[in-house]
Amino acid sequence: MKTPEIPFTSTLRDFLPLKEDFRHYRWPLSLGLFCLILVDFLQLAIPIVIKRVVDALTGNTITTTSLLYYALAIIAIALSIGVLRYFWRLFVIGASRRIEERLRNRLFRHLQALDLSFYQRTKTGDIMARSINDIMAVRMATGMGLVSFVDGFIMGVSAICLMIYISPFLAFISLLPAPFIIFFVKRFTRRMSSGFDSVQKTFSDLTERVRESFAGIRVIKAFSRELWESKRVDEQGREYVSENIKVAKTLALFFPMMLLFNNLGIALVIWLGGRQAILGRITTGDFVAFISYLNLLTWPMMAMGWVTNLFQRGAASMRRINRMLEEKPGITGPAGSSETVHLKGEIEFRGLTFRYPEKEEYALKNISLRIHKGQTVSLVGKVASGKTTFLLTLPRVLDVLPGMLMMDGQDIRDIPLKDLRRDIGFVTQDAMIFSDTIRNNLLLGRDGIPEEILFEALKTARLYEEVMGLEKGIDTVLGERGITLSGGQRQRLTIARAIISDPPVLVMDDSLSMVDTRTEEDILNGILSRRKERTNLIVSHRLTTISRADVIAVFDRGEMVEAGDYNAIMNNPKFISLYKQQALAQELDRGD
Amino acid sequence: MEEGRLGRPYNLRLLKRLARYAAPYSGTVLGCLMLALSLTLLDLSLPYLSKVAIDEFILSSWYRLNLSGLEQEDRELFLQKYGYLIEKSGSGSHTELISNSNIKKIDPADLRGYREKGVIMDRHLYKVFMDDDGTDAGFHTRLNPAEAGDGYMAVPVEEINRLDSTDIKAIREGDFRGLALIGIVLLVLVILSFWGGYWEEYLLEYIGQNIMQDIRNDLFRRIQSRAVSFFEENPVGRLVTRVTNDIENLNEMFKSVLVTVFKDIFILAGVLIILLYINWRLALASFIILPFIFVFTFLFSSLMREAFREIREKVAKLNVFQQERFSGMRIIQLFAGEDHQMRSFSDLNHENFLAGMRQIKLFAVFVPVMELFSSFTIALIIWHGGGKVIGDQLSLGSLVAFISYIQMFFKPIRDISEKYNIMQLAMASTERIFESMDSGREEHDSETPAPPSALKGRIEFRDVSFSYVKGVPVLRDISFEIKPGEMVAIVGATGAGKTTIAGLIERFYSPDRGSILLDGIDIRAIPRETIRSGIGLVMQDVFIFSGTIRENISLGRDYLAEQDIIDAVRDANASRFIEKFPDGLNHSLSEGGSTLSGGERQLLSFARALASRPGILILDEATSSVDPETERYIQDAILGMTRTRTTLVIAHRLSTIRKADRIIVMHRGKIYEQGAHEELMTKGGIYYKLNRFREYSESAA
Repeated sequence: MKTPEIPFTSTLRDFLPLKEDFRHYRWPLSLGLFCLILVDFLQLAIPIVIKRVVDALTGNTITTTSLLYYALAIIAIALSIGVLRYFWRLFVIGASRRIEERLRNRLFRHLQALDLSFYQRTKTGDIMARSINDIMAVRMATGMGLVSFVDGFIMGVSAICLMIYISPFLAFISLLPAPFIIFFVKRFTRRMSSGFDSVQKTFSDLTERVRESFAGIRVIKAFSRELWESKRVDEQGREYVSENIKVAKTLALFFPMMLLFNNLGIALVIWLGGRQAILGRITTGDFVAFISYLNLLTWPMMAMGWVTNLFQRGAASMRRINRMLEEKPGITGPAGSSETVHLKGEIEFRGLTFRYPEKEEYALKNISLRIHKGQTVSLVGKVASGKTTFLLTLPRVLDVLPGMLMMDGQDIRDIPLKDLRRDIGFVTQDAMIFSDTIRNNLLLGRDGIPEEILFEALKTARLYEEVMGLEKGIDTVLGERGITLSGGQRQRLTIARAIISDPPVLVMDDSLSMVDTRTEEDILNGILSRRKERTNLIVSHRLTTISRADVIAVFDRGEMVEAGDYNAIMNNPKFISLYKQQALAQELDRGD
Repeated sequence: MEEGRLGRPYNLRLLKRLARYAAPYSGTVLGCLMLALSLTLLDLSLPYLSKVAIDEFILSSWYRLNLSGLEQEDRELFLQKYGYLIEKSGSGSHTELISNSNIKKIDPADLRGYREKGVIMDRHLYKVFMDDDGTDAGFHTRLNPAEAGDGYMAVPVEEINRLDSTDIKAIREGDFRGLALIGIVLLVLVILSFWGGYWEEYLLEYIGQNIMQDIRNDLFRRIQSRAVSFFEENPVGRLVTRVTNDIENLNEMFKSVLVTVFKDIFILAGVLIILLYINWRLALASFIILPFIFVFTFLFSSLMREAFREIREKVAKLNVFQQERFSGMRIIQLFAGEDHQMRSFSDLNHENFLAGMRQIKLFAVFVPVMELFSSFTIALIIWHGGGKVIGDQLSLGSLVAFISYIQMFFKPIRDISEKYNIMQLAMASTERIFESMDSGREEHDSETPAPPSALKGRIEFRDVSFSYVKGVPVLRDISFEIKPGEMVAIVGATGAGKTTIAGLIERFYSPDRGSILLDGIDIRAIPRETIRSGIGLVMQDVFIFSGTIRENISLGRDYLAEQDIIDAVRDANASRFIEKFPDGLNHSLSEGGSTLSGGERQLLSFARALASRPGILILDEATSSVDPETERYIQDAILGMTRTRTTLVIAHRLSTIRKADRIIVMHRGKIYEQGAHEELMTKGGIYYKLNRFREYSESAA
């Protein structure tokens, strides 16, 4: 045994966070389990009825009327089983669905509170895996796992008791294979889970290989490498196939093996039990009932192995979910204050220094800048010079140390997070659109904004005509199930999203890169002329935009190397060397 | 995720097409079916053996015949009809015995008559054999035989049961031996069934996996051979799902449905036959329930399908929602939209829960009702069959076997809904797979290709127009010529159509109008392979495959010698960064080459293009900025590689543009002006204006 057995208690401890949920559903759960136990007992009663019939028939002590009673007894038992089965499924499996729903809600709520650093170090795919696969594994453990455990245990123990009651000798003989079965099932499930893991791994390798082939199709075609690539996919596929077949070699043993153990028991019972019946130590009815119980026992034995597996998988999933739930939100609002704050738009950076966790180099070094209400600031600098990092400190997506960033003379950390973010309109580089209507994409849940304002914002973002051209206008669904917007349209939509609330501070982080020059100018003119009284921070590579700003801040490797108006900046050699090439490319792009 | 498309669980057209993939494995498939058939026979034999054990050995008994009570005529009739059933008690004796299994062969109506007339006595007797000398053995004296014949005596069963076990053992030795024999037969069958079961499952997996691999390869090659535009219209994720997950769905069908369907049919047919054989009257009576089961299953399957479809739809919705929210969490937080999102999420989550509950309720009805049908049949057998046992028309063992067989009979019917779901999923996947195989245009080469020859490097565009989307022209009547050895730079705004020109030369797309000539031959007449391997293409965004640096340069081109790669690396100025890795060219790149910087990736793509020493180079310069040192390396490399060959550069770097023999300035799909740098400067067009700004900024420096 390579992996140490996980003690049952530690498995339980992993499920501890669900204590409250179980408490909440304790009545349906116990009622359901009670029904389940009744079903088990009733199922075991049917062979007893059959035994009675057989014995009565052998003894010639039966009439057709009593036969009818026996038949009716079976129907009555079956009806009760049917009704009780309905209830345990509804109660126990239903509860597992309810617990699943609660857990998923809790996880989502928690994830929403986590800050950017979490999302930077965690792949979306991993979070999805927690919320889909792991929660499903927990549901299986709390639903079918619990059912199989109780069912298998009760059924197994009572069947064995009844067998011992009929004939201790036969019970002993026919249960001889049982320890082997349990041992086999345990080893088997362990071996299988490691086998499934490697199948899963080769499957994701295959998926990645196929993805790569399609994503790099131009290279493959440009170099006529189709054969090579299909050979690579074939090889990866063969690996997957051989991993599957390796698993199949073990997996194919399972059911035949269970059947073998069961049938061995039956062979023994027919031989030895038959002798006992002839000798009159058991009745023929006992003999028949015994075989029925032996058949009924196959399931509990399989269940025990299966259940351990379900619980262990569930526990492993629960551990992963717990780890995610234990992530502390790094950025929270000030404690205790509930008074709403409205920003005016005075911003002061005081020696702002920032380093990403686990990075050695500082992303921002000692930046001091004062921005007055109504000013427009243009940030320029190469890729990765710190502009985006700098801007993200404003809505506290990235957190700075106390005293480094003041808003309206107040430390930013003392402003309630909600108010701060409500009053900063932020347009990010990546134009993120949700699969929802245009309206909902604009509002993002902000209530009380009249439709005219939405139209106004769309007009400013030069998107109004296009939206109105759609059949359902502003209620058109975007994304997965709806229409796909071009990059430029998405950018314009995200701009409209930011300006509908007319925020005191507007941040635009290179958010017009996919919009043509003329439209960009129109949009910026529109926005800036309406926002003369408000604060604007804009990252752009286009000189026309830059030239319009009150303050131009030049960033280089995390430092602000220069800040001043256009004329002052134009004489700065650093700025010129930075912008020389880009300027040409952009002017070329500008065309006529 | 396309969850809304679930149709019928079978579709003959699709199944036929799938069967073609199974053809190479038909031998193994046949073997599997034979195995399944034998296993079914083994399974079916178990209850029958119990029946034999009960009837022939455990409850073996005899009835006495009293034929003397009959008229001569009737006696003749009896002997004629049933004489073969009688065990003669020897010469002279007028008593005969009939065994309990033989008595079931007497017609029920006759039997009743004989019983009433006292021809067949009610008493259960046991035939105790004497020793050879007809006396011996202690227990004989303790018995009170009802009748004695030659070499045996018939003793009432109650009488024997009163004896102690040593006596019983001695008397019923034959029965014990019979039971032991059945035990041994069972043991053999059980072991056979174990091995058969193992091989069946293993072979099924083997067949299924291999068929899937064949379909996967076929599908992959077909998708791969689509024109580049196909990949622009279809998201990569969806294509990947086709090749991986959809084919995976087929596995379930191969493994758990197709062969089990045969197995189920074998079992159903087998049980039917055996029951009819044991007692056809009781068999027909117990099948009364069948029509109800079919109607019920049919009604339920459509409800089940609906519930199943709904779950898939809700799960898909929930997943799309989460995927978007997790990757766009920054936006939600920036707009303080957490509460709103939470509400939307919990609504979706609740819908998902409700869909799950609907399915649970359906199952909570379906499964118990099927059980009920089965129990009802058992009750019927006990009542009706028990009556027959009393009337000696059915043996007890048969009754027990009937119950076992009915339970066997119901199992496949109970599983039908589960298989239904699997088939439905698999059919939906099959349909999508075949759709993907058939949709989209494949790249076609001319039937009468120009004789292959090395490209010298003359490129000519004659009035070429092209549009990706109908009505939105990207290139409009473009004409230009590049002479062998010439270097031409194309400049212009994003969307001016520069990259499209490269794609047209590579035959990624075909022009709507006009023609493109290579060395004076229309490229439509030149095989794609010749064009593509004769041109070195450096794309704007460099694609890195997982594999070593060497593999990324050679791309599996076996005809490249080691020296070719070394030369290419040197010419591309890439040796410096490759040497940084201790394993050099064998350094393994993962995750799209994320360990390389943007500049390093560009150098690598230069080496890739140069390795086959192409006569023509098309260079789509990257726009992203790199550190000054690498920038210098890139510029040097470009200078070196363009010197000796025909080059078309889609240029962004000033240094590159200045070096070109000719500059083509493009604007909105048209050539605006072209000429050498000096020429364009004196002309005073766009190019001049652009350069004026450059001089201004340089003078300010």
